[in-house]
Amino acid sequence: MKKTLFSTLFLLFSAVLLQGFYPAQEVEADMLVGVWEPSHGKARVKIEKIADKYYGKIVWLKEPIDPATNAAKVDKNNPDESMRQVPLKGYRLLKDFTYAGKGEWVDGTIYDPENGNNYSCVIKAKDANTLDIRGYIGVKTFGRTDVWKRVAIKK
Amino acid sequence: MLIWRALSNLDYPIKRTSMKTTVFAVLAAFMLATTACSNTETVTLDSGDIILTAEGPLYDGSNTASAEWTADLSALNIEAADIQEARVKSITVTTDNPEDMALIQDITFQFAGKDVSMQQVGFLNPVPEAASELTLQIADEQTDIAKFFKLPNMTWVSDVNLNAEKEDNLQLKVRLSFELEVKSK
Repeated sequence: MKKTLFSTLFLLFSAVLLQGFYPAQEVEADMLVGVWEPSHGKARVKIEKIADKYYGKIVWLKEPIDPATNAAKVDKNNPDESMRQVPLKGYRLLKDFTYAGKGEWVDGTIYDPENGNNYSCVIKAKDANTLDIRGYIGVKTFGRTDVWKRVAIKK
Repeated sequence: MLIWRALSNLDYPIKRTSMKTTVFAVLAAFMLATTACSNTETVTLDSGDIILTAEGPLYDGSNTASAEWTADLSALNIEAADIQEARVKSITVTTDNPEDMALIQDITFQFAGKDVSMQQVGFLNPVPEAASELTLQIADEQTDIAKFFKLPNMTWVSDVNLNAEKEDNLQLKVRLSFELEVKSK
């Protein structure tokens, strides 16, 4: 009797623990959602969740007008010539990130509009309001890390 | 070491392949490859009108409208596994409310899905004044579009820059035409 009662209690306790774990993991993953500013301060990027992956688009530019054309900045360095008139405001720089746990999002890419290159990328949360964004080619060792700050500070 | 010794002791003559045989083999390989390549046909798939919703309140600036979509391939009597290549041929966007159309400064369109990288396939910048239907410019380079058809569903994502705030939802009626290269039956 004692054994059965112990087993039942153990199962119940495990079920409660597991139920609590998965939403917590999701909340942790969704901490990436929000508006972030790269260290150069020339743009702000809104990260959102679409179909279980995370994507980031430019929502604000410090200098939205291209002095060369006197019009809104466009993706003039895109390797696909047919897409060079896509506006930079609204452009998706960060694509396809999935949460790997422990405050890290992986398997994504970051686009650099300054040269039209895409890089592999990992994002690591340093705290609730700071991200390490590491872009690299091939292996993580050969890359560059930038620190992004959350625009509306989460307390 | 043993293998090296065995190889160096070979004393039988290596038969040289005749010119005729080589030409025949090359021709046969070419014909095989040609037959394999021509074993596909091109079909057109029209999505019909799909509603993409951006949930309000919406802000002056970039907003996102999206919807899940699954292709009805049974109407064309094809299966997802048969699709070798896929290309978007046209994208048109309308709204039920003309006032909503007047809010849109520019628009981009992309596909998202599990295990496939997001693909931007069209845009229009700027949106012409007083337009009632938008025909997007299509990307020349389209990669991995066929992979989206192999997923249970794909997500259509449209980013719109609005010139003013909007209290309620924005609904875009989007219609795509695809060109699919499928295995012949």
